[in-house]
Amino acid sequence: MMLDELRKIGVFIKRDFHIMLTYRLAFSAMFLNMVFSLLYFILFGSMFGTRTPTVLLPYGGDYIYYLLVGSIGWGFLWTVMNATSASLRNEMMMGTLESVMLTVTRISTIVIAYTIFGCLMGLLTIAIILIVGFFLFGITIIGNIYAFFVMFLSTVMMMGLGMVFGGLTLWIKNIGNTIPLIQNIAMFFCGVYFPITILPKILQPIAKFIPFYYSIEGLRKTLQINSSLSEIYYFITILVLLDVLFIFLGLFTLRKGVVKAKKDGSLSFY
Amino acid sequence: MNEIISIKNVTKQYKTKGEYITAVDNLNLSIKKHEVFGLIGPTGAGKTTVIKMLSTLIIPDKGSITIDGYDVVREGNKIKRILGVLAGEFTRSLYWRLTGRQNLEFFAKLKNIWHPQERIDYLTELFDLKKWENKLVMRYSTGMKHKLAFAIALLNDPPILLLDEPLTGVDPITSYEIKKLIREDFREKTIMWASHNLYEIEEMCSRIGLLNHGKLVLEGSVEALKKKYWSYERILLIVDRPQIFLEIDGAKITGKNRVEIKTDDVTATLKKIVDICIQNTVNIEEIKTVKPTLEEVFIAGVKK
Ligand SMILES: Nc1ncnc2c1ncn2[C@@H]1O[C@H](COP(=O)(O)OP(=O)(O)O)[C@@H](O)[C@H]1O
Ligand SMILES: [Mg+2]
Repeated sequence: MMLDELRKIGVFIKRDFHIMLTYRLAFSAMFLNMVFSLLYFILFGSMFGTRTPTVLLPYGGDYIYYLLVGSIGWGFLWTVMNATSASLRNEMMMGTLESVMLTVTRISTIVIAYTIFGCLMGLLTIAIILIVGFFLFGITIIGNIYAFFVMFLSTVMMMGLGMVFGGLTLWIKNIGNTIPLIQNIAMFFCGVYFPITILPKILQPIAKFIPFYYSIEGLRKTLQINSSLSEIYYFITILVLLDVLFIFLGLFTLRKGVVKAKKDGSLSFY
Repeated sequence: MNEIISIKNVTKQYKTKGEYITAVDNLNLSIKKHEVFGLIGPTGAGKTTVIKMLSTLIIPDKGSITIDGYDVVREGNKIKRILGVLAGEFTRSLYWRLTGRQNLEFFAKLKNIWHPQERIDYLTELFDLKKWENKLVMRYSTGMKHKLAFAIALLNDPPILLLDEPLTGVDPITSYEIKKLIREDFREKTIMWASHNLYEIEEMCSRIGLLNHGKLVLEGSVEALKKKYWSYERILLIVDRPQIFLEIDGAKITGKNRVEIKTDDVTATLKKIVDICIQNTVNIEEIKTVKPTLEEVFIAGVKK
């Protein structure tokens, strides 16, 4: 039983690759777009010249590097999250969710498969940014095992959040439209494009209540040579706790969402 | 006895904008093994809701449904293994950006058929999709999409088929092929066929149930229902002077040169007609007896 469900994850991912290949233009446009975003960061960063803003000192001082790590991390988080939550919405809209639900497949398998596919896309994006960044602009970001852990734990957290939104979509059809808003508000406090230390003092503590803060700040810490292990473990521990919380919430919302949709007869309604 | 689907006191309401619509109202129905049961009823009668509750896609509010002894709400996975479902909106059940074969492989594996190639070859052959199997479903005609959806429903060779409007919007050739397939190859299967097309129901089903506003208003074999609702037959005459036939009981002029006579004794009435013709030297253009159709049973049932 369990083994079948694991094999099905592969089946879903294969399907998504096949579908993606039919969207060649959109796909190439997306990557070209990323190269241009990269160019923007380089230009932003170069405005500062050799001067180092004091707020960036704890992060090594290089703004281009700061922007890159922030935007790569942030982009990855939301790629995973969107892949997960948009899955159910798209399949409901297309009408294929009912066909899938007619087979003996768990809803969590469907959603986990989408997360993994999103994760693969996110990694592909990162690889392209790193390659282009290195060859065109001579930037290097060297990862390590801790950075990998932070990324992995963040993926699991975003999967949980994706499940929450996926479940809520079955409930409130267009909840997905609120995601960009949440994303933008959260970005304010997560140190993506600027360190939170530039925010007014009274706003700064809010960051501690935003889960994504631990992903981005954690990622920065693991990539810095001078971070202490205890600092890194602090972020990893919190991420582990957040994972447990979000996965639990996600599975719960998803299950409730399916029951609700089956009661309302809205599995294929939009 | 050999009951395979049992629906007991099932009610389903939908809530839309604060209002409740009763789609299925205290339904009791029992389907026997190997029968083709026709579920008929006007649009909005609740047919699709019944099919979806049987397919575990909708949870009933009240009552219980079992298929082969399994409860649809609690033992959905056991039921899905023995079920083949053709949804009403079959075109929406497919991935248009996958090829026909990719669709079949995908759904086969979700149905835990891990080596589906042989089965898929058989089905693409059966539905004449071989030439198209590697083209995107986007490019398929409606008829081909329909056949593909049917093939997917048959992947697990299910003993029970739930067909929701299986021939609606389907071209005559596809429709003919599917009816032939069901008649000739599916004799061992139990089929529930929902439709408002009475011709196909009369042609395909041994027993029918008529739903109206979610209630089962009639149930039985087609012949028995016809007998029950129409003890008489009708004689239709096209003649040059219809008025002279009005002396027969139950005669009515229904158009230019047209007389319709309702009777429960066809032989006696025909004799009277012949007598009148001889006495009056009328020219008969056409004469035929009309047996009651399922349509009349349907209308009687819906108006009840
Ligand atoms: N998901 C739904 N939400 C609200 N009302 C619905 C839903 N599905 C069906 N209905 C309503 O329930 C009634 C029965 O619909 P349905 O089962 O589709 O009938 P049929 O298949 O016989 O046309 C109709 O009045 C329809 O409008
Ligand atoms: Mg219907």
